[in-house]
Amino acid sequence: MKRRLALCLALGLAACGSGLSGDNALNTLGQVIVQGIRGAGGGGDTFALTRADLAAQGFTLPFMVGTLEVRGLRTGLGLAARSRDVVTWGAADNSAISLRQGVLTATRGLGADLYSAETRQVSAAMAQGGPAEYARTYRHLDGLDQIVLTRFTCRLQPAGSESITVFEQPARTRRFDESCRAQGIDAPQITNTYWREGTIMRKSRQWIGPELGYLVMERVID
Amino acid sequence: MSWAVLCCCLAACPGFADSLDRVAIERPSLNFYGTSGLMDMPSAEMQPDGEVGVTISHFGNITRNTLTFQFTPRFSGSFRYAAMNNWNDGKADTYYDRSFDIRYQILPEGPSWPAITVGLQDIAGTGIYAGEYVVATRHLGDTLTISGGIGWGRLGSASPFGAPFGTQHPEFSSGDTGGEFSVDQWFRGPAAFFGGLEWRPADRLGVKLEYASDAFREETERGLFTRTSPWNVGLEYQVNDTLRLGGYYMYGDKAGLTAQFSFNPGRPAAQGLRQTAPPAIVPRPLPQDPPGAWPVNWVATPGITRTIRDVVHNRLALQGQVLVGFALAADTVEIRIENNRYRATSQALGRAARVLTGAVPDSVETFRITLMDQGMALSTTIFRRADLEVLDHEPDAAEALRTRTRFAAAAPTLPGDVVDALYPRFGWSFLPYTRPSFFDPKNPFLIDVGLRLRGVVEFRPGWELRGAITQHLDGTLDRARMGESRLPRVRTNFARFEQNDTPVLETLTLTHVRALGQDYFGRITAGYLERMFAGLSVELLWSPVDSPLALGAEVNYAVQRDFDMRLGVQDYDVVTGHASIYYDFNNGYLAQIDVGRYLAGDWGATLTLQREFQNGWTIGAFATLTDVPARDFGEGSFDKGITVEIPLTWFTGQPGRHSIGTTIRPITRDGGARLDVPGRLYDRVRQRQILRIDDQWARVWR
Repeated sequence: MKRRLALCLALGLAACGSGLSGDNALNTLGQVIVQGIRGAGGGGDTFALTRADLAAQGFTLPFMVGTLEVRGLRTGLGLAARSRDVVTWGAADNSAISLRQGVLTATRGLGADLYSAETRQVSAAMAQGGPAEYARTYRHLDGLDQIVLTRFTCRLQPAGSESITVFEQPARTRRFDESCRAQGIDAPQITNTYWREGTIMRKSRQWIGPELGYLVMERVID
Repeated sequence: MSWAVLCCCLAACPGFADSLDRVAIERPSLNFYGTSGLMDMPSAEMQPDGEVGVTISHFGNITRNTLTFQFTPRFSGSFRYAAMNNWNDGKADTYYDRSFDIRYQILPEGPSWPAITVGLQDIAGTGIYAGEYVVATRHLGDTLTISGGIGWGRLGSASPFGAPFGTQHPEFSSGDTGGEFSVDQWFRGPAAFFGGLEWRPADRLGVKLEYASDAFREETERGLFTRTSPWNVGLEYQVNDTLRLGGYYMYGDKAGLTAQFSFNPGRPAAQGLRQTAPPAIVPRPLPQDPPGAWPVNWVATPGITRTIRDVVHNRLALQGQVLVGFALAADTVEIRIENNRYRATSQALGRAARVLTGAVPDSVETFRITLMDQGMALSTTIFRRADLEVLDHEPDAAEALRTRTRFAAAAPTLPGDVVDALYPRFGWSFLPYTRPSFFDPKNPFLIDVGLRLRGVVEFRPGWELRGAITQHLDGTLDRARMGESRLPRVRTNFARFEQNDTPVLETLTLTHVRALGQDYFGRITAGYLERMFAGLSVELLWSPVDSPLALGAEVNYAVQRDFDMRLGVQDYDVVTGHASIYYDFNNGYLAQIDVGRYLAGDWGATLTLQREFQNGWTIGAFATLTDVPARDFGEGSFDKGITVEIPLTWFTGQPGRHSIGTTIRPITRDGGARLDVPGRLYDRVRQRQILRIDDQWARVWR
């Protein structure tokens, strides 16, 4: 009996060590299983600040709020990097999304990420005011880390002016609906929605991938 | 059973999607033998490529646990461990039997013809399940599957229609040592028809009906089974993507149950990698004055190399990488790194390159990143900085960067380039351990648990002292059977090493590894090499970075250690070693042939075939034939087994380089046994082979 107690203690206590890579891997596995049993499933943080809260804290940097619908996750996003025409926004949990002219081109650190997506066709169509039809390719990685291409045929439809409210602030936008079907399939499979205020993407709801579904992005501070 | 427990954990693991996707629905179900089929009879169907099926089935007094692997789209292999209760003439005594099957689909199903599969059951065991079959299966519509076939041996034992290929199929005898392929018996003796159908009225539901051609002669004679009807019926339910449950009414007498677990390397338990976004690539501004060139006058700044090196060192550390060497020139930087975090080598390379874009002066155009493994320089990857800048965020960035990236053999590390104050390096850990043993003839599963204290000192790149002390806490390994042996006892006495209640020295080795110039690598290891042997081991490996072929040679002097596992040794010593050929077929299959002398002094060769998936899953089989005759070898006739290795990231989604793996031998004997030398070179060096890097190249941008 005593021996068993000692064993439980040994297994239950966080094992210790330093500098030997990989020994912690088993601990990680244990943590993941424990999280799963507790039903954590990545619920996590919910962004609940208001525009006034941000102002009160003297926060004036570019700022977005992203909502990952499938996980019910709402998080603040700050400007992390610019590379030519792509802006990368980072969250506190070290995940990141990259946008080219407001159109999602990649996600990182979310799990089943969007590896890359073509954006130039839809951006050009929006700049011209639509409607337009074009091909767009999304890339994801499968379970063996191989690139999976999804070739969509998309149709961009201008849906007219729309007044929306982003963080208590009204915005007059032009809405565009982009419905895409994978080649060979009739029913629309994904629908991206964009609300543009002038040339700024004030709000959008864009598809990441089959596992993560849609991400809603609201531009709070320019 | 052990793997049942693991499977149950996995099936309940929240990482597994609860949704039922088409894969689970379209997968053929598994039978009581754990292969694609009905209940007790096989079908001609194949599982999806790479599928791993674990089946637990029970009816009457019989329990069968089977691991089936779809090695290629048309070839599968199974390993089975069956327990038959009341074996000894109906008395409470359990007989354990191990068997291997292979199946090959000679004709895939077509528009107007059925699939046809040939199967050999129990090809090298003691023969209780020995049988052969040819079976055809056809799908009718989306919901109905019909199978019919002819069986021999066990599968031709009930109501045979004749013996088309003549001669008798020998009777099973339970005292046989088994292990030899009974080629002369295959498809001989009486043959009988079998068949049945499977109907799937709904996505999750299956109904089965079969006519079975197995007479259960041995089992009925011993009174552990009654067979009053050849008809079996059953109902199956797909619980989730992983688990299918079935209930049956068998042979007019008994209820039956199965639990079928299905895994696939391509369906990770964790969805995607849960890890941080990579550091951003920092693009350079366009050069201003003079246009077209960045200034290089920074080179003259005193201490600049050291300052930049420290920045790189710190930022690499955040990516789980150790900067071992650093050399900076006006247009080139070379870093030597140890990747301690990413299973995908490409991901380590990509992140290191990203760090460099934000740390080295604008004029540095070429990034040379050399991968190190415990001080051994493995290979150098050469990126052009402009490529990284231009391709970042391009949709086809992975493909485009691959065509512009070069790989080269690594130059040996120059002492002046080693980051100072890095050595000596220390590490230690204190963790619980488990040591399982599968399929001991009397005890299907034995396990020991205890605590292990490990320590390592790296004095200089490539020189290290490493050791482990363990304290056994509890377990059952000391119950392992120690059968008689006609050979020097090099492995069959393993249980005697498990009977220590005081701390023991598991290993203590001094190792030197180094790259010996272009394409050659060397290793010398001395000390307490493994639990049962101490000695000296010398290895040389030739492995060009761009070649699928590698050649190796290893010579060891080994002395058997004392059972108390302190510093002493016993009388038995041996010179053992092998010449090895490794070949990567570049389609997921690897072959290895080792020829040489084994621990018991026997001479022979080992053939190992492995299927390796791009994400690091490997499943393989090996067999060793030596000059020890089968009767001297004992049960099993020769050494063979299967190996399984699964990267931990597959379960967790967290980055990490480690795998869990095991070698399953149907029986441990003394013939064909190899010394278990830690840190053999091939697997370490292969991580930086172009073929291996290409397997997961897309991760370079993650």
